[in-house]
Amino acid sequence: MTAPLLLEEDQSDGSLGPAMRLLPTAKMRRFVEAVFEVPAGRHATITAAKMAGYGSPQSSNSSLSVMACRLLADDRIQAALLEYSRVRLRALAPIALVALENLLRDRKHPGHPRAVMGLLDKLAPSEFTQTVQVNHNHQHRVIATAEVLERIRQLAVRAGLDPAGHARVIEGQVIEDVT
Amino acid sequence: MISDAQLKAMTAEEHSAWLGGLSDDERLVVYCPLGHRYIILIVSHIKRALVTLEMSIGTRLELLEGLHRLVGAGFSADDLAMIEPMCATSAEMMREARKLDQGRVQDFASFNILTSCETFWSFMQLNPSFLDVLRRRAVSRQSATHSERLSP
Repeated sequence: MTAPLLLEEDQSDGSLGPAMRLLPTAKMRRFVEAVFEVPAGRHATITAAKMAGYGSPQSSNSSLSVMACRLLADDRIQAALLEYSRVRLRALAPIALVALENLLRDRKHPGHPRAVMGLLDKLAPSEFTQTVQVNHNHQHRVIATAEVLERIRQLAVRAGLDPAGHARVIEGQVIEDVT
Repeated sequence: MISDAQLKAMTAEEHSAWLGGLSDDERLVVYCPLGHRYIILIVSHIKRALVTLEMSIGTRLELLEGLHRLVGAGFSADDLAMIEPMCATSAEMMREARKLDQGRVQDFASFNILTSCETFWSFMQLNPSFLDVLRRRAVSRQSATHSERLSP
């Protein structure tokens, strides 16, 4: 059995995340932590419930199992599990770095080349240039708003045209004067 | 009006004599810069399009804006307002002249024909507003020269 590391009632200070703080009882918080501490196995949730203080010494595994299932189905517990898993993941970063460092130092390890390549990809990602040709076929269309029509009217007047578009057209024919 | 070919065939004396015998209106055309003649024709042609063709609001606005962009040194807003839209005969003449370009405007084939004294004179007979513009231009130039002489 894992040594008790679970939070006591008075330890629920500001170090807990919002989802953990929202849990109504310390037992539920302890259950969330216990889920991560108990090794994966057939009776993991039962053990976690026991560690959190659920049931009594006489409680059967089946009753503890029902309790654990109810706890895991609780939305508040699920939110707390998600939050706690993120905290644990961040806490694993130093361990992961040490493991990676050891792997990189061990040239005979079969995973050594992949570790080197993976690290290089993170440090200096390979770049590629892609040329994208976009054929822009948008046609601007002037909408006949009052402003546009007024602008047309003003321009037509200034150009000596009838704004209504019926300016006088001089019709005629060329007559060659051969005198 | 004399043709360009006849003009080129003249000797210097004949040319001087021809210039001396020009009427006032002919003198206005002969001394009008080619670019100015061309702008007058283009403006008249565009105005014809504006008053005869059905077009979208956007095209109409674009053509009118284009007309007003021509206003500048040598071509005033008054000139623009004075020019009347081209008649059907003139438009046909423009169309025929432009066929000479055969897609190569940079060769100035249509420009040379349209702005020659002979052709422009014909256009002017069809559209007297061209002559009005030339007269107005001559008057404004004379007054500008006069005020220059008077200024200290």
